[in-house]
Amino acid sequence: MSVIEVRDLKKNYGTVRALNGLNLDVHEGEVFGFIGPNGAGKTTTIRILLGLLRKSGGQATLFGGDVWKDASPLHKRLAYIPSEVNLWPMLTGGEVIDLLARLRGRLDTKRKSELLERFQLDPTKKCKTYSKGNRQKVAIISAFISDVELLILDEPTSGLDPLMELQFQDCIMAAKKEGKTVFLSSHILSEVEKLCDRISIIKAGKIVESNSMAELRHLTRTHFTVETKKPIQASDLANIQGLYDVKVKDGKISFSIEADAIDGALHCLSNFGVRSLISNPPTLEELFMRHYSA
Amino acid sequence: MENLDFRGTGQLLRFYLRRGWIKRAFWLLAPAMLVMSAVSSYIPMFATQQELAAFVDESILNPAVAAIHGFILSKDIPGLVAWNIKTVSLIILGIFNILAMTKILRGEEESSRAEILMSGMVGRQAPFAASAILCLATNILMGLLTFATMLAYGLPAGGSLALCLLFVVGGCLFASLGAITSQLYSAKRMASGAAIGILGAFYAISFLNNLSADNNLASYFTPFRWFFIIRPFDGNQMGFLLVGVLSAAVFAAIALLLANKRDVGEGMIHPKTGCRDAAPGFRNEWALGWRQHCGSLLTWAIVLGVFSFGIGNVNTLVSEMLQEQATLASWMGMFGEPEEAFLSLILFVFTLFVAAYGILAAGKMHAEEADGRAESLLGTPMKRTGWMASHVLFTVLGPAILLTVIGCAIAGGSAMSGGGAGEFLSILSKALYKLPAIWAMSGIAVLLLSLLPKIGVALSWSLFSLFIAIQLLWEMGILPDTAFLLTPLGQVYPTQPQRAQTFLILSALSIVLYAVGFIGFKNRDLQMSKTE
Repeated sequence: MSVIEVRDLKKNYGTVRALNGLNLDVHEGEVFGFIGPNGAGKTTTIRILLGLLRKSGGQATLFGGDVWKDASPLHKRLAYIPSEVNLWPMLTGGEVIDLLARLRGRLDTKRKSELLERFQLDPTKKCKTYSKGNRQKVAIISAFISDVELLILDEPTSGLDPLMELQFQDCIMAAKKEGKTVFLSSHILSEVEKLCDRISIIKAGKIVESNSMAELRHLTRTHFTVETKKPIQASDLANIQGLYDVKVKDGKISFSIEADAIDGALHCLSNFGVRSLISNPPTLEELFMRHYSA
Repeated sequence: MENLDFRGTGQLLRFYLRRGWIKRAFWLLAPAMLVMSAVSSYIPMFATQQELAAFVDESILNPAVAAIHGFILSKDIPGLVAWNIKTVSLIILGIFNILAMTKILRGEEESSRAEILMSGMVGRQAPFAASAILCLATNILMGLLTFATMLAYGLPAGGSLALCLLFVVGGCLFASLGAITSQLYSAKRMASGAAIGILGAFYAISFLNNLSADNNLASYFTPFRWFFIIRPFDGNQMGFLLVGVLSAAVFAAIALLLANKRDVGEGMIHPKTGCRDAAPGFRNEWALGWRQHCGSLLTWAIVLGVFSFGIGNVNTLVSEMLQEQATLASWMGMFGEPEEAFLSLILFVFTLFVAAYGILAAGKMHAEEADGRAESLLGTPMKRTGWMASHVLFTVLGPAILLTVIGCAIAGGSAMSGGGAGEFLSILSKALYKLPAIWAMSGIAVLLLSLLPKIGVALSWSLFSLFIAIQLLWEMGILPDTAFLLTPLGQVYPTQPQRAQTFLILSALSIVLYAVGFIGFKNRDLQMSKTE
């Protein structure tokens, strides 16, 4: 079942077209990565999904309900972390967490204590004294404290330190285990790579790539660096199809290769006596760059 | 070795100068404009010196006027002008100096813009030096402009110089005060709030001392009383200004000393912590709205209440005075019976303040939206209309509460000084009669914020200022009645008869304005702090 379904979504700000026919399908129970650089339309998409902005065209549904008309009842089933967390200067972090949790339903005080401990947030401080990272923590705790079916997270870790980022990733994993759906917008590719089952890459208001991580790995090239007993030349591998960026340096040969060609290349290499072999799996970054550097 | 602490001051100064032009223009011109308006309003008022002297004698009899402005030193046009503009000018200059200083010294750090600048080739004390030069130069220029204006209007040079120097020194004193509080607090709002609080305390001290004609120890302490030590147009004892210059310099030195002792982004006073858990009832938009509005509503109620009580208290005195003075009495006569006229006029002035509160309360709703806090709330099941209503409620009930407080306080003050206790209901009903006109103003603000969110706040205040300008022009006889009656506030001006019809029509109009505002907000994009 699709939790989020978006068809041909368009959004104009005056004459500027922010979204230009965007499609998305997020299934129940998966962690979905929504990646793209700043200005590609990630936040606009999310704000439309939350009924904060009106769409200019197309369809968008959450749990089958209209994101604009049914906003309030739909929001009972989700928690949201905005990209820019702004809090009430005169309230304490603890008060904000309680308020947001109560607005979504019941406040679980035990879970609150756990999360405060986990993210090491002092809830007695006024929000105006919090740093960006601490404001982010308030939003993260308010999101994870509620027992909801869907988490919509817009660059949730942008102000967190690496330790807290790890805690955040643990929380995502736990949410996934509980069967919750996570929609994670990010430009931190390592995080997406680690957490997400499927991803979509957005560019200029359109999805340019949409696939499962496993599929993507298969589609992209693996990088090899090989040291051989017998000296090897680039020409020795010339008749293998699907081989790219071949370089020979210090008696080592390195190249990128398509998944289907790996077997043939290894056969060929073993004739030269392989002494060491380093293989780097395809990275999301590579894929991302391919869409964006073009 | 060369002292690098002040390196880059020039560049920073140029950078700061590029921003905040509108505020700076007002800061530069406000005292000169006050001089112009005071001179041009006083000259036609008094045909002879005797009339002026009579007016002054009457004014001194009125403790409300004396408490606000102090006694007049010299009974002539220059003396009257200086007496009239001194307090307002100092307050305006003080606030602008404080805001400019805290913005540069604390606001920049708070927004971490300072970090970017400070990591460049900029000395540690360069922002301090640049902001000090900025304030000093602006104050001096303001002094020169005011001095030139006073000379152009034919006021004596000596007294004009004394008054302008008082303004320059007073402005600089508040700037260095702002520099100190910027070191103490880590948030700009707290730094400027603390400095403005001190300004308020200075004013309160002078308020309490204004009723005594002589200078006492407290007079030397508050800049608002220095006017009576320096005596512009009445002896011009400018020597005391040196004390002011010295205090400003000492304050600045203290600020510099404190600045050397703290880290970037840190303050000397750490903000208080609060509760770990929210109160059990803190669970919806209404509770949040109350938390956000109650402080300012209470402050407004207290301030307006105290002033209303004071005015009510002197009413009997003033109305007696008015009856003795024929020309003023006939002018005031259009506002009603002698014992009512003064109160009616004051009540209308307070109505303007309450209307301003209504626009401020609506503006708070907009700030919630523009600063991105509404986004977090509307991401929960909270409804748009509910969120909006939690703020709009204060534009509806807030003015009602304030007008009730004003009415009760005036009636109470009046009863204390021997006015009939039977007036109570009459005064209260007169106050509450203004309510729909204020609702109409708030309704316009809510409507504008809904339909034109980006410029709604500016438009609301512009419209409010326009209505007041129309009122002033109408009072001068430049605009016809019809123009003034088109404004909501014109409908409840003291010269207008109180009619149930007006009350109902304005109420109905307000309901329409609010309703269209709600529909408009429900159907538009939420404004975002950051749009991607």
